[in-house]
Amino acid sequence: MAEGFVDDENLEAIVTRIEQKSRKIESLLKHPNVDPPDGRSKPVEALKTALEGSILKTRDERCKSANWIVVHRAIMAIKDVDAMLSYLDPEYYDILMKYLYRGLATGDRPTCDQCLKIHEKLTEKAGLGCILRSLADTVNTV
Amino acid sequence: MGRSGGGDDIEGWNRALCSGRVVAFCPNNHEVHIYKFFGEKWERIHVLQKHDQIVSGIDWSIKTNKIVTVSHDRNSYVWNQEASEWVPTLVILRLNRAALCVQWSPKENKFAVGSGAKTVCICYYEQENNWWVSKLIRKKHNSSVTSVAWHPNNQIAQLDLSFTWAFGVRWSPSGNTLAYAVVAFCPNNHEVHIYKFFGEKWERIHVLQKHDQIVSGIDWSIKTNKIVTVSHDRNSYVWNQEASEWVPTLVILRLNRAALCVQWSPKENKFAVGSGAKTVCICYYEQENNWWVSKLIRKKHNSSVTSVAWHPNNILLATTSTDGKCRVFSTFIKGVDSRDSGLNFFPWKGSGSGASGDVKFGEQIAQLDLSFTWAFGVRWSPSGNTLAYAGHNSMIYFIEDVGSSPKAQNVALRDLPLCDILFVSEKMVIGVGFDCNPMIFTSDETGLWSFVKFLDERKIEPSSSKYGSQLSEALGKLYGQSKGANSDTVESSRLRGGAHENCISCIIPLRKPGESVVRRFSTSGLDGKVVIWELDNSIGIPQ
Repeated sequence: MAEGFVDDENLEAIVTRIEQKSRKIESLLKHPNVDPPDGRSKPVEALKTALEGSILKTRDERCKSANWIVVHRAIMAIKDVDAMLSYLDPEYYDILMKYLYRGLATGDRPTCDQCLKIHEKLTEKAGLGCILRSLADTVNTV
Repeated sequence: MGRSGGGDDIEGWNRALCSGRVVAFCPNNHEVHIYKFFGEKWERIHVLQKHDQIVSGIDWSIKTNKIVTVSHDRNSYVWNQEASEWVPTLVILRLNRAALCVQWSPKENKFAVGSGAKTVCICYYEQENNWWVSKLIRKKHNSSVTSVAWHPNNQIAQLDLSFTWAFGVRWSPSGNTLAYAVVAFCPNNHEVHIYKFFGEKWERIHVLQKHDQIVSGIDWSIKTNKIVTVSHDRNSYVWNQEASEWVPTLVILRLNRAALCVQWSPKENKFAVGSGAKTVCICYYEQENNWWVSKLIRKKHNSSVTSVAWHPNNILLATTSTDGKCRVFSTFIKGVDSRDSGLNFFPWKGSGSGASGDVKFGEQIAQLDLSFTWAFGVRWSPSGNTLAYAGHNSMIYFIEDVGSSPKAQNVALRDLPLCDILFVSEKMVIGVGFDCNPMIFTSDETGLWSFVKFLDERKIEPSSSKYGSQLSEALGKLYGQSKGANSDTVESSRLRGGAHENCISCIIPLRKPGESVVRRFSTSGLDGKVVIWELDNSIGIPQ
């Protein structure tokens, strides 16, 4: 185990955080008529919420799976990829790319369709360096 | 790009590479052959016969579809395609020696001819007279003009040495001052070649053969004029020039894995070797025994050491390794280094904390844990205040004030990772790597590092048809170049037209002694090319 990773007793806290995140995303996706104050679209806000703090300081696979389900929900809710990328801040590009590869690894048809669609646009925007960073990082996996 | 001279029958591939399915070349006689690719094989479709002597240069314009040829017969022809025939137009160059090279200008309204008459001709078309006029640049060259390059986007010379890797290029001390006199490099085998520039062309003057396996690192000391080489055969040789011959001295490194990189210390009394044995060797000369001794820094690295860099104080050594870390060590050796030389670097090790022997050999001063992947190409800034290295995850790391209060910065690259780094000044860095194009980074007044631009402003032409990639693939096979047979059309259009066509693995300053800012440097890479660059004045170098 690498240093800096949290102990098992903190797993509870991580799970609680994921649950909170999930509720927030669900409410954002369920009430599309109420716009957020800054006028950004709902699915993008949901995706940002999902990506925030999602480098889990744990190697517990159950936590990662639970987190992935939340992010997956947000990714699948994206309809307009171009608009999403123009709203999403560059600091989220690398982490989003990691989740796209996780999505492609599932082999699930609709998930792969969606991930490939985003992957193409994201690579256009963020370059090959983004792919390299997400693939080369074997420590902070998602 | 075309090479002149020699009995090589595939000489003179030219920019026609870009024009699709057709290629023209001179088979080392007075003819020019044009071949076309017919889906399966290359067929000769034209023979251009007009010159009387060997055709020495050829260039095919992209937009206007004109071929210009120059020859030892001192004339030039512009060939225009009219109804499937190539019609020549004579251009009288007004030379009294052979023409040697030619290139169309980027706008293709002019072309330049280099000649053995110490003259360059600039030729342009005069509409009124239906005539190509040659204007001469005289009395500027003292010898034959071997190469011309238009719109020199900083690039002033290019040397096509071999079609294998050229990595680990080093310039001789005299080469660092005025002319590019001598260059040594390892052509990806067990030899080291030394080339000298004889006014007209580069000639191989020495081949250093002693290693049994691939030479992986080379460094040429400036003051003492010694070459050190290291190899996968786990040994090192120090080469000394005695009466025009290079005499090797074996240095037994005591490694059980390949040596990977080498660098002379600033005072040139020591050199450091990084290796695949997770070890760094510090070698120094013992006068009494007439012998190079290798002291090892063991058990500090968890993986291969990919690069070593000496701090200007001759004591500190920075290393990068494939465990992703960058480390700084003390290499203080009793009897070689004076006691106070490295101390100003350790403010926390003042006179109060005991004797100056505190900086023991092999002591780890710092460990930088910024990269999660392989780290490469560590370099100190000229003052030794800043450290930079590249990660294989397309990041470059800058660490300021390494000695006192380290401040680290990560710069994420948009494109492919870097292999090697050069500090041009305290505030400017050039990085080279898998993008085949040097990148400039600078630090602003607040000390924030950022990417500025690519140095080689190449034209990016979208490849409209699949032919482009097929052709370059076929040519790649012909050349034996490792261009990547699977490279898609986007990739091949990215690579086209730059100085380097493959990963750049090495960047070396061509610095005059005592100069603080590097304006000239050379890069070499896996395409077998060594390119000399000069930063023109449009690129302001922050001091």
